[in-house]
Amino acid sequence: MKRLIAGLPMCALVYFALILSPLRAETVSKPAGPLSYDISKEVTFNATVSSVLAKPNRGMLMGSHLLLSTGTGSIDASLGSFGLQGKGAVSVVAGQQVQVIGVLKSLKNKPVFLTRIVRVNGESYAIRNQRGVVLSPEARERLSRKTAGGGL
Amino acid sequence: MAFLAGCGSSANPTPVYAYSVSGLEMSNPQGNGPYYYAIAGSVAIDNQGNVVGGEQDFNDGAGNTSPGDAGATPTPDTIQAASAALVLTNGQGTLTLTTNNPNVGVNGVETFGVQFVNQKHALIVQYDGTATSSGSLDLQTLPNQLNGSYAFAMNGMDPDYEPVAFGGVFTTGSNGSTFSGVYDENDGDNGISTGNLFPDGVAISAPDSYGRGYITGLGEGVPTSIVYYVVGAEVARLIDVDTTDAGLGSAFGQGSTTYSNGSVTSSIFALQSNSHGNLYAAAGQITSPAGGVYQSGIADEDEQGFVQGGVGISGTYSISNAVNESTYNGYGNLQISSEDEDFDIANLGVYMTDPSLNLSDPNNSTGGGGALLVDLDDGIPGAGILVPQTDTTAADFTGNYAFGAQEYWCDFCEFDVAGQGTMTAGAFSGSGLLSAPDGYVFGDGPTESTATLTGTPLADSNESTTGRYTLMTENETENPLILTVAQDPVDFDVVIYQASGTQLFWLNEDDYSIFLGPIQQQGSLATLP
Repeated sequence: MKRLIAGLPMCALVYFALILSPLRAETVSKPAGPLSYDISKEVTFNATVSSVLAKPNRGMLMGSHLLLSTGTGSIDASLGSFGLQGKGAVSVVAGQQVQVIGVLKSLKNKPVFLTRIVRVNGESYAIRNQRGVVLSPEARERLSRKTAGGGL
Repeated sequence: MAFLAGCGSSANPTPVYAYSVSGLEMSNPQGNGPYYYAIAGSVAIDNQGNVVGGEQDFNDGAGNTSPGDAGATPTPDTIQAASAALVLTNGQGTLTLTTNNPNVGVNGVETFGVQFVNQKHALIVQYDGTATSSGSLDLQTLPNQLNGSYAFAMNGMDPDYEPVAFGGVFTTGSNGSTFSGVYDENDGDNGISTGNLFPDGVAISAPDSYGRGYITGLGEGVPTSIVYYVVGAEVARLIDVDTTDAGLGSAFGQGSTTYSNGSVTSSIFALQSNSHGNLYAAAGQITSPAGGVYQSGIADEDEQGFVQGGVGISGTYSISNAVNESTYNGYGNLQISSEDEDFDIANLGVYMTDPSLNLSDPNNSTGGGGALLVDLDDGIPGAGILVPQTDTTAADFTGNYAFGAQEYWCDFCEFDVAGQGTMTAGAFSGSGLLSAPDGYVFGDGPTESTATLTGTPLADSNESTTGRYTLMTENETENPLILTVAQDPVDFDVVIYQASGTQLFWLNEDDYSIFLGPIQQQGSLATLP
């Protein structure tokens, strides 16, 4: 599969945008859904890990979770299906300090933090991409190859 | 070749079946699994259940692609002749395929659980502990080739190993002498684009004796090489055989119909992410569409355990749209407005198919066609079907049914089941073959097992309008679907949407699990091995 735009330098993107634009009808937009990820609403905060949940409790989103304590309360940080699985999985235990980047959502009237990046012990772990799609171990590895040297 | 209809003895040709599955693979040696994977193939099976021969393509897009597909001319794995490979009891059993590719199945030997719906159509699951997946097996009519106008949709993984779905319409001349069309894409990494035109230079090879050929030169954003297996003149299975991405889908003919907004009738829709994506499934109903508007409907969605059940919907749609001032027949879209702002499905690509086709059972001329769907909502690539709803009479949901379900369970694990049962006096009871190779479903239980499924679907108070039933722990009288393996019952909250008495869909919507699958009325199984 050849990518539509990924991996091209900016000048090439502009060029292709110009020559390809007649081929495109439109780009679809939609109202923000409950699990949609709007990167412009990302926040970053520091917290202490109170629990590491490899499997969700009833009522949580599927996948693994960190329960975080902050200065203002506790928060459920969703790590998605792959956050604690496979190569590149988050390595963290209760009591550690973490920095998380993501978007805070309200699901069933409960706050849930859709985590994109976890930083702990000087390591950064990619959990989701910039569209909020959870990254599998294979996706993480391919992402790390693409961004080698550039950081997350 | 003596096995093919029209090539061997015309009085007693060996039946040839196209099969395809997708799901999660456990056996990839690269170590980052489970991976998404897909298989498409063709196998000749005589009336005693002996495999005469066949070929298939396997791809996970992560280091385990049929070796021949890596070359400039995609070449399939071969399936060897084997005695007593299809073993059935009353239409249910196993199919064992011995390939020349040691990287699939158990050292090259794949076993599928098989549940026949009728003599020409079966639901299948991989059933050998190396992978789990759902798909179908359908009698092929050969020789045949892609020739005419088709709708298509595919679901899989992109080169970043993030989920992608794409679909559209194309028109081709005999053996690809001409090719043109338009497609939409929802890429988990790059986002959504619609109205993409296929470039000049698309090449379609002629099908071989198993109905297999390949398509190349499709352009940006779609696979470099797609292999097709013809089921019949108007149906083909499609598999992405690139080594860095993977996917599976179908193409269905559009016949001679000129599609308009009037072509869409009251319908059931069902769509699902792939096994490795942002996990979700949805099903629903739209009522009495006219003039590009449907005033009412109802839908259910489970996205990563976040459930929206029985949500009222309405919306708009547009069929046969123009791109660059050229109108593409049957290339459409549908928008969903929900009474619940948390319902996440809002934009679907709609690609109309011949009304003489049954999208779930390609050799069945009833079903009324419908459309292939691609979910064009950001971050949730998925694909599915829209089928006409012709009979919501509860009394017609009775008799013998085959069923299938692709279940996303907890996280990063899957089980699949195919089976059969009876709906009698409002109660369903069935048994199926369940594949759970990661062992997560029932602890350390068996990876392949027989499961029983029982339940008493409760018709909605307005079921005669919607065709919707529930099996729920939260119903006034608890009635979840009970799935039992090795005397260990698990309950599932399930909704059923009835397109007709012969075709229904069920959707599991728990916070710990999601499944979607067909329920198809069975026909005669008399002449099966």
